[in-house]
Amino acid sequence: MPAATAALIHGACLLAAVAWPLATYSLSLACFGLAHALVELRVLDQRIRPRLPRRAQLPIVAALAAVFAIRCAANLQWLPRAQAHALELLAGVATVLAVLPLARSRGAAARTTVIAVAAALVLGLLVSPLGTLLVLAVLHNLAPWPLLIDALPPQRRPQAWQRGAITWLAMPLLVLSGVPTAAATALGLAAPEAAPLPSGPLFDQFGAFVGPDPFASPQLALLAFSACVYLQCAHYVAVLGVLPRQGQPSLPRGTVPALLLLALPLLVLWWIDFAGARAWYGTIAGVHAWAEFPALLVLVSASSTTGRSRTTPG
Amino acid sequence: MARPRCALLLFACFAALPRVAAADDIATEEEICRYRKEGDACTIGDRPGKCRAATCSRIDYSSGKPQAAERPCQQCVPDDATPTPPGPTATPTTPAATDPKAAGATPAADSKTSAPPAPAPAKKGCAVDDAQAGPAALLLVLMLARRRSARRRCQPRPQR
Repeated sequence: MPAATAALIHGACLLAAVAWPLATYSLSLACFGLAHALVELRVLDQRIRPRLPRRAQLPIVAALAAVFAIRCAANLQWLPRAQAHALELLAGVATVLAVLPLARSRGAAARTTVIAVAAALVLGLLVSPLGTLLVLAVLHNLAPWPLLIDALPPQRRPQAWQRGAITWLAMPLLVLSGVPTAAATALGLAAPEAAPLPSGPLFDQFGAFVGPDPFASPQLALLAFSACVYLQCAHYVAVLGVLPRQGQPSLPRGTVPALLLLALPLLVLWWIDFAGARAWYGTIAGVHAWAEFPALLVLVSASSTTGRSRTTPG
Repeated sequence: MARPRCALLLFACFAALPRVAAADDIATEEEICRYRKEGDACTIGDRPGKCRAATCSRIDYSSGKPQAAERPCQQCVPDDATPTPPGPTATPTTPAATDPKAAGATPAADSKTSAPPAPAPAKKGCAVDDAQAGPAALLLVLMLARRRSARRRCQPRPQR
């Protein structure tokens, strides 16, 4: 994507996230959520799965199926939410540990990374499963950054790192600073509670991401939500607009528009019951988010191998 | 041919199931009673309870500045709780004041029912269980201590 186009799109995302956070959150979720999850799963299946040994693939697929089943069971109220969160994290740990044999063969750095990630998830499970899932919900938005870098030839990677740092670190921090929100308010553009879908008030959506207590710091809670909404939009742009075309094998032309068209009639369901539609979308979203863990660890293992082969003489 | 069938099946599943769902993708406990009637059984954590009419506090951003507001809602009150308000934040109201749809009311409707600016009430919303934070922190400290002692053992002793 040309730099000017990328800047324009991300600028629009930033404006939308700070001026109309609720509208942007609910509409982008309803319009692009399902399509982006399916596209990302397809990309991971095509590009990362072949790099995994067969014995690692089965446990990962089983763990992802478990995530799907757990979320369905929780939606159907067959499973209390608290237990569902803990079980989902356990399944997530399984997806990470499935990469361990591969990481072991790639050296100490890769092995340590996998163990550290698994340990962090177990710690999250012990301390606060829901809090951990909410943190992961925010961090998951950064996943396209390394995936896009992996898809590029080595000479273009430094530039991609820099662009990624602007998109996924600097821009959210800018939103958190409150400057864009203040500017949007001064220009009379801000309408935080505006909602084209019956999502309920903005306050009800704060639980979707981790953030400060809205009663203690209402303005900061709004800024944190806006930053998360911006990250969500940046995630959608990367997954739907860049990832399918960048790297091999690329998705067939027309896949993304077809999926977006498929999601169009589903908008009715978001209109009828926003919370319900989000809960059922969450079953697929959960699978795609947990699939990112082994995928990123495969990339880390590959990069540590590259590093080792560079430094090892002979 | 298989693809349109899959799409149709997906649409049918999506159309049939949403009403059953009671919470968002990463659920907060505040929506447990959204699709239940008052008096229906519910579970909060591992404790059985009943859905009761309440007044929920929230922050309203519609005026540009964040303001404390209230609206009628339903909350899951554990059976072993005292009959008075379910928690420090929710105050039971008369059944007439409770409309299950209010939980999903539009912001415009909410702003009409908003109470005048009031001192910020205590937090309402999803509760994160920190009861296990102690053992986990202890585990972390033990791991760090062990690592440090192992590092010390590995350091070469100064030669005299």
